Amino acid sequence: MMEEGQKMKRIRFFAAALVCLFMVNIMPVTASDEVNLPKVVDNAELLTEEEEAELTGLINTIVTEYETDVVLVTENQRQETDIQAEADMLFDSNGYGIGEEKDGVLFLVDMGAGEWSISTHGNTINLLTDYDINSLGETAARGYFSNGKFGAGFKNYLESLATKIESRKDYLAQSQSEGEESTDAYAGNNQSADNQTESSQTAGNQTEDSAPSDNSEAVNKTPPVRVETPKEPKSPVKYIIPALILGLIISAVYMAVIWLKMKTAYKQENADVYKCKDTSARIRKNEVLLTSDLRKVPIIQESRDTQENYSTTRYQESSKHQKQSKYKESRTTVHTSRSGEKHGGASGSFTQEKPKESTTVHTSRNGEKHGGGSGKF
Amino acid sequence: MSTKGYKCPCCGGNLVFSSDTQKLECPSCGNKVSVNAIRQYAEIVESTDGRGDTYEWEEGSSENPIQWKVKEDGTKVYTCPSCGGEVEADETTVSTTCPYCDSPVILPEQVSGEFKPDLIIPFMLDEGAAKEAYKKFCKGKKLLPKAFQFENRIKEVKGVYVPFWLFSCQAEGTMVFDAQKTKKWKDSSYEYTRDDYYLLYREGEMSFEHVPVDGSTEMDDAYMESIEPFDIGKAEQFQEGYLSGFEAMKFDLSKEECRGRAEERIKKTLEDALMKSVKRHQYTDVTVKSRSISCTKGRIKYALLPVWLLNLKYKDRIYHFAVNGQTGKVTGELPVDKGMFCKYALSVFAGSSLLIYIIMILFLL
Repeated sequence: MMEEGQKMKRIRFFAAALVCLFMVNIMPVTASDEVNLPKVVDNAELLTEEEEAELTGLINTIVTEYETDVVLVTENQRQETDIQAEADMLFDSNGYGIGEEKDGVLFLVDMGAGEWSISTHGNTINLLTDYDINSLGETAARGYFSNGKFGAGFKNYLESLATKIESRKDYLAQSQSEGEESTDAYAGNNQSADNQTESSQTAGNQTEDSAPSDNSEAVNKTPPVRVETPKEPKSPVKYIIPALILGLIISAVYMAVIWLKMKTAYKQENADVYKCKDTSARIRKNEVLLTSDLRKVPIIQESRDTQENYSTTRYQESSKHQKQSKYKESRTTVHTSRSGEKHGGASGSFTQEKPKESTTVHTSRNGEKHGGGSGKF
Repeated sequence: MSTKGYKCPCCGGNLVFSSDTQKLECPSCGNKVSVNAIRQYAEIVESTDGRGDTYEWEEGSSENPIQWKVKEDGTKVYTCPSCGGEVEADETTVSTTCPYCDSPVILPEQVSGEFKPDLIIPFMLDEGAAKEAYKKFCKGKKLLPKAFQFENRIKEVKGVYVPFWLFSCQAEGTMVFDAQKTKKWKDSSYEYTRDDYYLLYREGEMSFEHVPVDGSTEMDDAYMESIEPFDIGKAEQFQEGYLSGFEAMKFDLSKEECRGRAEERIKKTLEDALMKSVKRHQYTDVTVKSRSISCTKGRIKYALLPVWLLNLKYKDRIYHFAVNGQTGKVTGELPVDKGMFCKYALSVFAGSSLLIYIIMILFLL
């Protein structure tokens, strides 16, 4: 009886261990299910219920259209000393983000310190440049939050965010089709950004295709299906004509050479072989500088940030940004949060201006990489 | 005009110059005599022959004293000293062979006086070596018709001493160049371009020894220049004995007519040396402003240089080749097999295209 009891205990122990193991595996999946997470977390109670509903609706539209998670958080007291670290921590610890790369952007407003911060993650890092993030944060903070218009500020933020993501995705799609995208950022993020663009387009196309029949199916379509589209320039057929042309040139040169070898009776051009070898040519040289002409043409040089400590992705700004020549070319700076995740982002206060051309990278407490912005208002 | 043929002192056979032993050899008895010895021998024999017997005979009863006559077409007819046969030769012939007895016939008057060469390079290659050099020349010529290559199409091979003028001088030259250096740089506000204009002056001198110019209109200048160079250092003082067994020509282009070609080549060499002294990579643009060459201490020598001439017949056309009788260098124009040309062109085109395509697939796809 004792032995049977011990066996049962052992079986129970193993069963419990298996359940634990299973739970451990399941937990992250559950946590990453962004559908169950609130997109608007108004801990500071700055928004009305109607505003929260409206913002949530806007966020869901962006999430569906661009497959980028969007989160708005307000709080009166933060846990981290740095607001950027706080934003990174909130994003990482709550399991926000869509897809394998956990693409998403979190906008944190700390009413206690009067600061704001934006943290991007995954492929969204490449979708929003430092300038974009600062612009979004500063516009909302200075234009709305400082006047107490939080609902309108967040609404303006979300609309601008959608516009920026749209223009950036258009640019990436155009660059990819032209094959002219110049990238000097680390390859992993870029590649994933490209893939994301492709998958977004694919998903977008699928949505359009299925829209007439079943809209709800298209709206709930997550996560994105990655489709490898064959690239036309790499078709082997395209190399046939260049190979034939090069072959023709090579054969023409070769045949000309062996044809010329058939005739060797040519007049000599010079008398080199009859030079006296013992008396080499004596040549005297003289060089006189007659005149010098100096011309100068004024140039307009674009300002570029050349910090080498950060990996950057350069691209042409959208037409909206081209009005400001200073930001014609911008960059996205990546940092690592405490949880080891890579983030883009910016932060600032409602009253203090932050540099617009670069993004500070930092690591959140749990090791995730974050970029972000925070500020006072 | 008299004719001359060197006879073997032992058997009386015709002596022929051998390129191997550099002596006159008798094909009949194998006797070998040096050129100097036979010259002395001939002088003694001729002097004693000159005295001869002193029988008084009536003048005009002996042989016709005019030993050459001119035909209507301009060719001259000589009498062979061996068989007495008529040997036809043109205006420039110095040495030839009798068509009847194959004896060497030398016309001393053609190489005397103003026509006497200063130097002669004796043949270093015999007929066999010349043919061998030609065969070597044909090897590896992919477009050569096989029939031309393998069949014995050599119709005529003859060793000819070709008249050359050798020009030696001290050449001095000056060249003036306009040169430009362009440098570009910029700072935060301006892009600067500075053009520096230079005047480059180059002066040099160079010595040339024995630049040869073909003095015969019959010989193609391109052929004669193609088989250069001749090693004039191995030339000998001219003696008629070297001509025995070979054809030889005297010049019909004067040194005044030929010096232009020598000056042209000398000028090119000196100018190339002066231009080479300008480091063109240091300048963005260099143009010649002026140039002048002057030659001093000019010396001109007349020489007979050895050339083997080969004539081949293929498809009703005669192909000419020349072989340097001293070095064995061959020149000429070989026929091209059109079928072979198309075959090779297609093969190379297909092969190279396929190879490039495979490389493109491997490295670019």
